[in-house]
Amino acid sequence: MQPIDPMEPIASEVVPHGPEWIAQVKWDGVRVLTYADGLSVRLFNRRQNERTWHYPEITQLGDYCKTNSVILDGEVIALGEDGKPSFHEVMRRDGLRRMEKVSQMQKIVPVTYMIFDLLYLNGEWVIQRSLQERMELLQRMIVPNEQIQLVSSHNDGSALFTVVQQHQLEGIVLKNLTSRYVLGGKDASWRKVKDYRDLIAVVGGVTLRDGIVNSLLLGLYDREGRLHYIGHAGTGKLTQQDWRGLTQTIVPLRQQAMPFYRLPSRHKDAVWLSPQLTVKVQFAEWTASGTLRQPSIQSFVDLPAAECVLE
Amino acid sequence: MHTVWKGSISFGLVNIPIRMFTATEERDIHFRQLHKECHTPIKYAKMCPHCDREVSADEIVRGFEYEKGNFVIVQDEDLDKITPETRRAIEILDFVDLTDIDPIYFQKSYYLSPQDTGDKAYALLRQAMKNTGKIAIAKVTIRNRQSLAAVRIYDNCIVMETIYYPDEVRAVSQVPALPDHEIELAENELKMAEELIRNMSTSFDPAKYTDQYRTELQHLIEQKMEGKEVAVAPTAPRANVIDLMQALKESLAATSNAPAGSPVRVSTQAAERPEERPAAEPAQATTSTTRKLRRKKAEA
Repeated sequence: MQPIDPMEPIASEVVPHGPEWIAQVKWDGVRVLTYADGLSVRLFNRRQNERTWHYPEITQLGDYCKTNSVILDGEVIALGEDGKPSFHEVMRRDGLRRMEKVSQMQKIVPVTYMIFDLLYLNGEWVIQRSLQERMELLQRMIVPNEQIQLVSSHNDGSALFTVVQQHQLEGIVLKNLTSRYVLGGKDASWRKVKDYRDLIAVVGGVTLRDGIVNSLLLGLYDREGRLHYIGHAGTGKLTQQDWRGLTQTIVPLRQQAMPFYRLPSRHKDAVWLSPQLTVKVQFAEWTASGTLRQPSIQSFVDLPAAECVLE
Repeated sequence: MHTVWKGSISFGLVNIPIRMFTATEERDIHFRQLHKECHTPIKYAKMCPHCDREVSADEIVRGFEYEKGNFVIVQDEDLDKITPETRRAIEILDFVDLTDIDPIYFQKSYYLSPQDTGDKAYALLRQAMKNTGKIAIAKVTIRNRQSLAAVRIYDNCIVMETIYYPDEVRAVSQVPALPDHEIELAENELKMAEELIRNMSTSFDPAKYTDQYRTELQHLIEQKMEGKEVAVAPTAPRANVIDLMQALKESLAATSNAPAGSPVRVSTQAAERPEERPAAEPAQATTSTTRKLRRKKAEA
């Protein structure tokens, strides 16, 4: 089975209303599709990178799925100490390089697979069927347990958004019940309305305090390949130990040349880096001058710097 | 898999854009060194013994020790001047038979996969090499270092093996005490040895060989993590996704004034709560044993 490029919601500011729209919580984690062809079960993320060995919880298909010929679409999440889905936590699993650590990390960072769609069932593609039908099939096939859940759907999108804001979750996804599953990325029959925003940025420099990195200078590339400064972040999910580790990590990346297209406002004592590290940042909104308001570091990610572009 | 390099295979006039992945990995279990007292990882500081202080990266230069205590300083600019042109290409020079290259030359294996529009040319080279049974010798520059490589087919993938330059393989003549061929051997002893080899002959089955020591070490670590002697407590017991889903459901019911169970056309039995919740318990157990361990330490 060749992994596919999964369907993505487009961003929206308003919640669409109408009997054909349902709303789901947008679970903040990593997108994982499960491909089972009757012989083997393999997992791939949105970028078609294999994750089969990262999540034994999901590859034990027989524990939760009534068939062994299926493609499932969902989000793998892990909760933080505050009981909310934490991208930082799930990256502790998703970012593992040494697979012998998986069984240890399973205990430290338990994950839940939030399944929301079904693409293939018993030897047949079902992507041409309506979302309504696919969800009904999904419900018949999946037996939820502690680590496998079905994403629930709600009629009142506005009410769900209010709840999501109360609970400080990422946002909601609105889906058209009559729509088919569109391969190859963004499609308007899925819309996301976000409570907080996030993006993946390139680290072009750092500032230090007492010899330890205490903030990251962030940038995004434009179409001409120029790196634009979008702000600095010094708060978020990194622990003291992470900052110390980072101080070591950046040593080989140090360079004399400032990598940004224009000199950042915060540049005194900045140490410039070869733009290679990428980091997921949450923020409140864009300022008029094109920088992030209240950016907060979620986790370092494994995305090539060149793919961090201004939208 | 993680792309370690992007470039192309150049083969005659054809350029095949490829991505490269490390084919093998060390599976040894690594330990960190900790300070016995507080279990903080030990940090290595770069010290100058002459100035008696720690030095930072920008205070360090590269020196080649041509005789004890005497150095020539080599700057980045010096190296840039002589760096082989990074053509980012695996340049195929010759085709040879695999048996022409002794395994002693093989260094490290990398998988190559086509990128962008390269899949057709990739498939063509793969098939041609399969049909002729030949492997390619190529020159490749990775990270400013030029090396020699063999390009061959493994399974359905083009693989690049970096190989040592001939002067990097030590001459066998330097190995001491090798008996020469003239040494007299007893006919019947030789026959017995050959017979033994025949009896032990089988086909190579890689799955048969596992690292016994690593498996046991892994097991030992898991045992320790399961409770008894964890050095630092893993994070506190975690909240449960099912609890969160339930909380959302209740909030939603309060918000929309609808009964809690029925907000959805496609019914949601997903949030049903299992009878027992094993997730929280092992974590708690770990914490308490850790506490016990700490107490023990304090008493000691």
